[in-house]
Amino acid sequence: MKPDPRIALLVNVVVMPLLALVLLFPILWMFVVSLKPEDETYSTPLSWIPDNPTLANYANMWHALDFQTYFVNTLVVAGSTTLLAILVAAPAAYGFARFRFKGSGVLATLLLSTQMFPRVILIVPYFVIMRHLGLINTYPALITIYLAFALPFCVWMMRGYFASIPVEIDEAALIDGCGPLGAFFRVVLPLCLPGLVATAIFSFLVGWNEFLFALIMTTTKDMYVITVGLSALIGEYKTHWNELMAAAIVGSLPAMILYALLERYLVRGLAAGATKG
Amino acid sequence: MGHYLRYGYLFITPAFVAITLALIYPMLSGMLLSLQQVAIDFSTTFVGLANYEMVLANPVFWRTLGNTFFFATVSTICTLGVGLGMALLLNYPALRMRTLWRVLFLMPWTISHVAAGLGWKWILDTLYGVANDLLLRIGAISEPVLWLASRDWALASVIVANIWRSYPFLMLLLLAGLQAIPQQQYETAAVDGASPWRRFIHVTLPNLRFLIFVGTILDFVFNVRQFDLIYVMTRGGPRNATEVLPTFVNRLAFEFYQYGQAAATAVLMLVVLMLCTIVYMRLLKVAREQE
Repeated sequence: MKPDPRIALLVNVVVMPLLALVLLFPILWMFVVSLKPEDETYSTPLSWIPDNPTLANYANMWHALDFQTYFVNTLVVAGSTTLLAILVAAPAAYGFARFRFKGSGVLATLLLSTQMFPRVILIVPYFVIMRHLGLINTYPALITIYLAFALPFCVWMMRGYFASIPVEIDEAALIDGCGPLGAFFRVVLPLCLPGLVATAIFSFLVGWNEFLFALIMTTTKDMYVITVGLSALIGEYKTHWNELMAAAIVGSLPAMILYALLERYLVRGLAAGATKG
Repeated sequence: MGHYLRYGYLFITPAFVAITLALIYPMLSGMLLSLQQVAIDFSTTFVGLANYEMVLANPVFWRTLGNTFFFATVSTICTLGVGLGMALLLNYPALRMRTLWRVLFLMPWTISHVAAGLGWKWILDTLYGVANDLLLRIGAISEPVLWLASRDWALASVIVANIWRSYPFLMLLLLAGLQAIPQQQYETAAVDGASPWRRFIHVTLPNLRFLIFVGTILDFVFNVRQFDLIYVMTRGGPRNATEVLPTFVNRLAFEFYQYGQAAATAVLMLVVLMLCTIVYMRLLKVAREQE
């Protein structure tokens, strides 16, 4: 079963770099366009490496096109969602991991199945309800909606982490005089900190990249999040593609970095699911 | 811990209150809205199944349903192929710098659908897109192709962008599955003189069956729900060529202000999605029994 050294060389030196170039080309190209001055973007044949690279597009999108505001909005919405989601999901995940109460199986399945529902069914009711409550163009509207999306997933993820902590630890805490709440908050929760952080970052990323509901819930520019700001640049009488690509790159960077750092958690989580099956 | 059982309810209550208020109530309210006419001032009148009749009589709905099915099916099959291929490559025993490649190939999945869609929209631009530029340079085409502006190419173009954005999920899922296959199964097969292809068919695939099943269902559901990518690339155009159920619902609600019909279409979509899942699971059960 020893791999053929010639094939190994081919894979390592030719296939992988070439595939990376092809599959990452769209991102690389977005970067190239973001560095080009406008006139160079519209002169054919295209230059594949910018003749006069400039960072002006980055400055323009940040200040003139006001992406700084969109960044802050996205940060507030995704951040609040994450905090709330963890606060509510952690106890629920612990409840499901530790207690076999009446209906716990059904409730857990119900919670998970909401994740698979087509969210489109929520477009009209959310709009009508939020309009009725006067919450269009406010943070609470988006935070509530994202919380509903993040919760089931957070419970599911953290349940796995809690289940991996031996029950004896809870029991020892109970014997030492902690109530069940004390055992959870003071003993088990701190042990799950890495899992908690991973779950928090994933739910943050869900909020960071969401578009459909942000599009419906915001109508004024001062409330736009990054994705809505990006899409709003299209369809006006002129599209500033260079600034748009600069904004897309900067808007994607936080998610790219976080996913790269968390990649092993992602694989581990999927692997746990894989072996269980 | 028997007498602490009631604490189970205590722990899960906040989550269920939140889900009921923020998800289940709006969902039921959406179903109710599909039976109502919503006026400009948002007052509602009960109209029975009139919204459903209107939607089902609309030829655009049927076109949209067909597009959605085509988009989701082709995307899912191709994504599975690319994802499996990439997973096999990343699992290649003599591969070096494994983590680096895994992180690099994950990248398309980390950027938002909106950013991905806008990137592809400009790449596929007729006059200044790099796709036409490249194809013209190497002589594969003699004049620019209207990738997103023609009814012939638009849906295929959007599907390519979608496959690019979604393959890493299946890649990582199947890679996790490949790494869980006991090495000795391969060794036994090799001792029996099985060729690499036969080892793939008789060892790898059977071990991955469950994950392929779960992965395709999830990916199919994601694809049927896909809104962002199509909205930023084509807005459903040209002339409904890329209109799918989610963009159609959005258009009905916020372009035509037909909130009732939009809600009805969303409910129909839920039904279609559930039917697809049931049929798929049935087919799989039949296939398993035939083995």
